Amino acid sequence: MQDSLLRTVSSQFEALIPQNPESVLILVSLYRKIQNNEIDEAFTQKDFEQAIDEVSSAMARDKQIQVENISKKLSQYFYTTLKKGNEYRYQLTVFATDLVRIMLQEIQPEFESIELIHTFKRTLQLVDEDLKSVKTFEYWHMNHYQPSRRVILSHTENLQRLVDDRTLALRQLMKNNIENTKDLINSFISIFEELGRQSEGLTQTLTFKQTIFDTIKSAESSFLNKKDSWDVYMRIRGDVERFFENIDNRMLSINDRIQQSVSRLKTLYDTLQYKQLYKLKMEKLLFFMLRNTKTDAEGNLVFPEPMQGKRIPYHRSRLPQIPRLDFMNVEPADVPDFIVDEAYQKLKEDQNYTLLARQESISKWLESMNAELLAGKSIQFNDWFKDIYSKEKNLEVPIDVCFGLIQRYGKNKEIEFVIDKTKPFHPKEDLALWKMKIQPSNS
Amino acid sequence: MENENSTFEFLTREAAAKYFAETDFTLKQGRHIQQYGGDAKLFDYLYDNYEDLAKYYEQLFAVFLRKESNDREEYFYLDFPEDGHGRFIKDRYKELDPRHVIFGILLLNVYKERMFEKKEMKWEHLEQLFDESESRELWQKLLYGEVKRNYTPHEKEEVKRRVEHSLNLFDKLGWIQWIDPTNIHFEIMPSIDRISRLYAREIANVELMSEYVHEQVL
Repeated sequence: MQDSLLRTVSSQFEALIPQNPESVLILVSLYRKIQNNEIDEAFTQKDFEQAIDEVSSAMARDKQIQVENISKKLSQYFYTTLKKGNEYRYQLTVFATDLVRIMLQEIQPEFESIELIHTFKRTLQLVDEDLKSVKTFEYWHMNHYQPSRRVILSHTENLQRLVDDRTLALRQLMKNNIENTKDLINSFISIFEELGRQSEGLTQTLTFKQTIFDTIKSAESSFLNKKDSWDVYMRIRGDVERFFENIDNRMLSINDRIQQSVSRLKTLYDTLQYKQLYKLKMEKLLFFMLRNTKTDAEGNLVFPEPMQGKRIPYHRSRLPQIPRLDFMNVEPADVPDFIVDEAYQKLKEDQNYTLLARQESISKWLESMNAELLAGKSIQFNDWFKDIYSKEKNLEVPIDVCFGLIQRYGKNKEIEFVIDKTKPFHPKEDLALWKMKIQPSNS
Repeated sequence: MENENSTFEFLTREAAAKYFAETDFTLKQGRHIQQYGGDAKLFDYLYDNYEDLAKYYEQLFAVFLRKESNDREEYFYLDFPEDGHGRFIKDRYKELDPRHVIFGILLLNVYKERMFEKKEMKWEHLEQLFDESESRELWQKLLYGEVKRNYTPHEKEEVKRRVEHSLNLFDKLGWIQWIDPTNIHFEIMPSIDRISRLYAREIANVELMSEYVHEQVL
């Protein structure tokens, strides 16, 4: 039996419980419009679509809610389709209406301004007539006690939440980080006056509840005659007793919290009063100092006689502060010793002197040849080459001289280079030179 | 091993290596340490080692490390005994100038008045207090040295400079926190309450003092 029920709920779960916020909000929107007589209980397709548009807008959705999809999802348990004239209309089911009502009740409780005693008196009233027979007692239990039990539990839950909410707000106020104090304190006065009334209501409720239970107990003898009646009486009595115990615990807990909050509020007022008094004294001291502080001959301010200057530690050495540098983790780099290689230095020096001497020789030979050319003579370079080589004992000198001649006279139109194209190679000689003559162009 | 058995074992702890020196310098410089900004870590260190540090200062410097609170905000500072300065001799203490005391009491009044509001102040607020209070003439006498119908820009600048000087001292002491020093914009800190502790006796007996001064004049 139990398994079968669970399986049924499981199979119907998606249709039974709205699967997204949009579905719930559409139901809430429709419910409220019906409550406010904005739409008919049997509302139209247009009403339904308008509710969807409003929800879509309220949720700031980019994507439109698919009317047909959501309509299909809700059609199983949340509305029934009716035919009215030529058109089809929607009507919320009892299940949908109750679900929305419970949700709203949970979010926006309506009991805040109603004392619990009112709920008790209105819903749980037990009159002598109800205890006349087991039938009337059962009737009371079924039609008064059971519905009122739900309302009373709901009321106590909301009352507890209200007290917690106000206590938290008071704690915040005590933390001293809220602006607009005066308004806030005024609002707290009214809130706690309300809590005070609730507290009184709770006490009355406890008494009222006890009276009901005493009345039930006193009727005990009326049901002793028949076992069936006795069993029913005892079942109902036990049920009421357990419920009242539960309510007792809840009310005591709420009452404790209210008392704590009231005590906190009193502390706050005492503190404010003390602070106000203290501040008044400080203002007087400021006025006293302003009025009686004089200037001495050197222009310094001096307090009146009863007041003395106060000293405080103030050690501020004016020493240059060494910058905070942490050398602990620095790895010093190895600096190699500077070693002079004298032999290498001498070698380089000699090389430079040799190079300089060669450059001088090259210049000298070039100048001699230039003098010959200026004198209109021709230069038989192969002869000069041998001559230079024999004197300088360095083959690089005649080669560089040759290169120097080409550089100097290569583009000079007044000088021409004549090269004998007969192959100069001779098997007995190590060196062969092309025969080259340099001469003035007009010779 | 010797350190572990000494009275000041707390100095051998890791936290002491990190925070003791800075805390010690700061306290000796007269600062009131609160759980705020750069002082927050020092405050935590003081909070965790309060008893040890209090003994340390009492035994070695003959001064008291105090822990006080103002509107549930705690602060620490060094205080002299009734009859002396402990080891804080010569240039290791400062006597508060009457001008500083008067500004201090003024700021403390503002702090208490703004019980649930922000404690920020600007130069305009201070000017308003000086110019529009019931004691306007007394303020003028204190600030300008004389009561006149109008003051030159130079005189006003000079007063501003003096107030700024007091505020700079308060900033060092931790009684205020600069928000924008160039525009004299600051926040009054809970430790401004210290001035009421320094002058607790005077605050409690202000009526008697007034009577005394009045009798002297007569």
